Formats: sequence, structure tokens, C-alpha cells
Amino acid sequence: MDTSLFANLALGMGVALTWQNLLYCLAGCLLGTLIGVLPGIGPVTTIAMLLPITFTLPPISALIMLAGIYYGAQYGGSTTAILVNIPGESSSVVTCLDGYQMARQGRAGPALGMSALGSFFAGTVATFIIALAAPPLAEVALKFGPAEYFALMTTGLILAVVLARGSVLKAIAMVLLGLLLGLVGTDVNSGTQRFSFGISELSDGIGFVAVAMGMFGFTEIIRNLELAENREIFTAKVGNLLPSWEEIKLCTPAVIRGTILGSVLGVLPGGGALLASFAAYTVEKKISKNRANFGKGAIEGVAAPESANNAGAQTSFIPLLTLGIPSNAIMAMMIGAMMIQGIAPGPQIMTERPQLFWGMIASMWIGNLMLVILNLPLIGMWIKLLEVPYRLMFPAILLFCGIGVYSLQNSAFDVMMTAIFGVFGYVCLKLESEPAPLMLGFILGPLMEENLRRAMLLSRGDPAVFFQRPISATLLTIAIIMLGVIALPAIRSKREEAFAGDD
Amino acid sequence: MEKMIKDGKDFWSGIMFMGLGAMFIGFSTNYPMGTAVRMGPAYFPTWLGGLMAILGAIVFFRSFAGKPINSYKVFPMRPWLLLFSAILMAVLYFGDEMFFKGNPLLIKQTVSAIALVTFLSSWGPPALFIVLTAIAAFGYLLRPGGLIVATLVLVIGSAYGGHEFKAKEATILGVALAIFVVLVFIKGLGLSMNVWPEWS
Repeated sequence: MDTSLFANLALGMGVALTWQNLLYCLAGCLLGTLIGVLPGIGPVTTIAMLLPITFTLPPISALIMLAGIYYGAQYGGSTTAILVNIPGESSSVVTCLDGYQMARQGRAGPALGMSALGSFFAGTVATFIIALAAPPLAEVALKFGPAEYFALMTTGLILAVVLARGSVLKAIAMVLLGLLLGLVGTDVNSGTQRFSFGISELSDGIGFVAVAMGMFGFTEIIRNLELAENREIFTAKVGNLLPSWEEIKLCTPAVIRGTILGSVLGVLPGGGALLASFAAYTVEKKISKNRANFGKGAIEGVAAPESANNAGAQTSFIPLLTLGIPSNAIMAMMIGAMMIQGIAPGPQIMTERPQLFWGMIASMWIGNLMLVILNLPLIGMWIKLLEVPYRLMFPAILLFCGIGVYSLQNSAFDVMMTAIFGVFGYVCLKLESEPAPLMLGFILGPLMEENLRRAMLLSRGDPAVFFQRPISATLLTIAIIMLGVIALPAIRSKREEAFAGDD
Repeated sequence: MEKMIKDGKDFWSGIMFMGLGAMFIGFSTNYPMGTAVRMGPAYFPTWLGGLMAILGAIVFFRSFAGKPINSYKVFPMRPWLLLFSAILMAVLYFGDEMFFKGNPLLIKQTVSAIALVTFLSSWGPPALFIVLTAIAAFGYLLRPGGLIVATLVLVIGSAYGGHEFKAKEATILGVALAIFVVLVFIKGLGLSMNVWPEWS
């Protein structure tokens, strides 16, 4: 196993280290940071906006670039959180707590530097975890039949809902709506046009970019426009980026704990970066020697969640690469991008396209390295960007989004659909119905139907099959227990508490 | 009514999920249901729609229980605009014979656009409909109007939906961005789009 791990990583490095892929990785990291650094724009929004750029590239380059965009966006989000106290996405909410306090004390430099170094360490560890954990998992997944797949997707969706914040009932309803929207278009089994109302553009289904960009991109912009512009940027006092030796020593245990916690939580459905950074901050606040200073500018309070969210961001690729199941909205977009590239996500990717699989994993590490090298000198440029007022920024963002969507098929209809999903995203925002579960459902809709059909065909219409096969029964039992547990009032209030820092 | 609804957000979400669930079930009746062994195209969506409607109903009824959290006025309703847009939509849907006979498609499209904008502005904040109208207009203008015209419309139009609109600033921004996108997307990346209007 050990030798093959390095052989595999070497294969991946060979793919990732070609000039072309290095360039796309760099471009992705830069673009991701560029957009991600804008206040109020998080990784999900960034990826939704930048998706169309990658579609013309060869598959491996496209995925490398997308992954680069993801890390870049996360890195950019932390920068904004520390300097402006506006978290781009919920995963950097906790970074704001101590990061911004540090910035106010004129210690923005070490906060930024420590977050970069911690993230890089976490990224390195997580890359190895993926390389180690993915092959055995994929092997198990290859034995899955339709019943197991259906059970896996159901459980994944339910866990994703339970482990995320917000109302579980509404989130499940959003999943169902997503599944239904995913079914729009031609039914593969019968050729029937479903829910397309004679609109020829809908016969291939609703464009996945339209949903993603509408509900995450446009909605976000409108929400930012509703909030008054009120920023206080600590740019003059960034100073020296490298943390002192003392600070590094102080942070090392926090970074290690954050990395471990993040790697584990990242694999869970619905987890990813968000859960990881929250948990890491909470743990650190309880056990750190320096806990009295938390909330007042403790550097460990930046280092731990930043490492955790980077580790979580990476390990959330594990279910995607091995099972073909997205664990959060970002992974749903990655799957969408894969499908557009003609790659069927699932355990067979690793055996059938090892270059793609290992190339992507290797590029994750390279991307992380690039971010550290790039961002230390480029931080001044990102700060300049933060000073551009939003009223000049958002028309430009809209324009690039518009061109991006239009250029997919040169069709005004796609732009219209995106606008419609923008409206719907706004309604959901007002009603506190999370869009992420809808995105997951949307991606999984056709797959779930297909597997349900096959499972039921094989079992001659007996739904008991899902509880007769051991793997499927275990998965569904987990899902049912989770749903039961979450219904208990005591657990529910704990869960609300855990995500409380979010508002 | 006002006092009874304890959570306006749940109240409206419930209605939305029930409505959408019913809609999907309704549309599914047009397709064959099949059996559990051989599922027809209607089978899965009907189940999903039903489940969604049930969840919607629970959320709806839950909104009457507990302590008051959110007012039912989640959206600022403007009833007159809503009524106007409803009339326009009814005309569009039923009035084919009466109003649009022999007319070019353009009139119908214009009326649809007006109906849509009034509908959006009947409940949403100005930013919502200004920005999204600008983006939709951009899409439809790209082919006939060319990239430059569409860019100017989108940039200046959406800037109008922002906080502090300054006409001069927005125009400069529009022109600068138009030049930028032509250079980057047309000259640089080689996208095939009209740069200038078709009629020029």
C-alpha cells in the first residue's frame, strides 16, 4: 500500500506539474482569491460565478482550476474576515472573532500570516489523508448495488441537512425541491419530457450553472445591496506578515488540533469547512492555555479555525471522489462541473481515470503551496481591492456572471433562468430556507431516481430490499436515528447553540 | 390573523412548499405512473411532491405555535402592483384571441416583461427587480444589440439599483467595463459574440 501511495502521488504530480496545469492551478488560485476577497462573497458564490470559465478547458485542467478557485476563495475570505470583519461565508465567521480584534490592535499581519501557514500545514496533511483514505473507500463503493447507492444518497442528504444549520424540516423540503428540479427535462427511461412545458431549452434539464449562479451569486449580490455599506478596514497597519517565533510556538498545538478536527469533520456530509471551523474554535476556546484571551485577539483563535476549515475543505473531496456523492454545495458544483466535462462521478473514476484522480489530489497540495507563496507578497494588492467601493464592484461582477452564463450556449434563455433563480434565491433567503440542500438535491435527483428504479426492478417492487441488504440497512438506520435524535428538544437546542455564532 | 401567525417565515415557507408540491404532483398527472417494479416518469416526482407538500403543511401549522418570532410581513407587499401584474398575466394567458391576434411577438414579449417587473416590484426591494431586470435585459440584448450596448445597459441599469447612484460615475464605469470585456472576452478569449448592434 505504502509504495503504491507514493507511486500514485508521483503519477499525480506528473499530471499536476505540467506547465499547462500549473498555469490553470495558478489562475484558479488567483481568481479565487480575487473574487473571494470581496466582502460578502464566499467560496460557494465565487465558484458559482467562475464555473463557466472552466468549461472550455480539458477535464483535468478544469477540475484543477476549480479546486484552485476553491482554496483561493477560502483564503480570500479569511483575509476579508480579518481585515474588514465581514465574513464571506459562514466558515470564516469564527475567524472574524479574534482575527478582527487582532487587526484592531494593529496585529493584522501576524493574523494573516498565521492563517496562511496554518492553512498550508492543514492542506498538506489533508492531501495525504485523501490519498490514503480514498482508495480503500472507493474499493468498498465499487461493490455497491443500486439499493446501496439509493440508501447512501438518502443518508447523505439527511446527514447534510442535520449537520448544517437552520430548520431541518425546511431543509429537507428544499432537498426535495432540488430533487424535483433535477428531474426537469427528458426522462432517460421513457424519453418523456417532464416539467418542460414545451420549452425546448428545458428538454436537457435546468442548467446547473443557472441554479448555482442564481441562488448563490445573484442572491448574494442583492443581499449585499440591501445591507448598508459600512466597513472599517485596517489596511494601514498590516505590517509584518510573518508571525513571531513566540506566536508560532503558541499556535502549533492549535493548528494540529484544528487540522485533525477539520479532516475528520470535513468528510461528513454537510460538514466541509463550516462545521470544521466552528468546532475547532469551540474546542480551542475550551482547552487552550490562552483561553482567557479568546475573543480579544488571541492568535490561536485564528490559527485553529483557519487550519480546520482548510483541512475540512480538502477532506470533503473524499466522498466526492470515492462515492460520487457531494457533501456540500461546493462539492455539488464540482460534480456538476465533472458531469459537464462528461465524467460520471463515482468510485470508478479512480480506476478508470487514475491520471485525473491523482492529478487532482496532487494539485491540491500544489495549490496550497501557491497560495502561501502568492499571498504573502500579494496581500497589498488584495487590500487595495478591498478599498474599491461595492457600488463600483457589483455591476462588474454581474457583468462577468452574465457573460459567463450566456457564453455556455450563447443563449439568452440561460441568462433569464439565472435571473429567475436569483429571485427564487432571494425568496428563500427571506424565508430562511437554505439554498445549499436544494443544490445537493438538484445534483442527485436523476441519480437517485435511476438507482431507486433499478433497485426496485431487481427486488420486484419490494421496498423491503433497502432493509434486507446489510450496507443499505445500516446507512438508512443511521439516517433514521439522526432524524430521531434531532427531533429531541434537548439536542435541538444544543444544535442551535452550536451554530449560534453564525448570525 | 396577525397575532395568530407566530413565525411569518415558516408561514410563507409552508405555503411555498405546499404550493410547489401540489404543482409538481399536478404536472405529474400528465405522465404515466407505472408500478413500483417498473416506475413510470410520474412515479418518483409524485412521491417527492407529496412528501414536500406534507413537510410544507407541518411547517405551515408549526408557524401558528410557540412564541412570536417573525412577523408575517416578511415581504413588503404592494397590493396595487400585485393586482396590476395579475391582470396583465391573466390577459397574457387568456387574451390571445382578444388582444394579440395578428400582432407581432414583440408586443406580447413587452407585455410579459412589464408583467414580470411589476410582479417583482410588488413584493421585493428595488434592488431585486432593478438588478435582475438589468441582467435579463443583458441576456436578451446581447445578440441584437451587441456586447457594448448590452454591457452599458447592464452596468448602468444595475448600478441604479445600488445604494448611491451617481449617473456620471456609472456611465464611466459602464464605458470602461465595455472596453475591458471587449478586449478580454472578444479579442483575448475569442468568444463569438456581436460587439456592435446587428442593425449597424
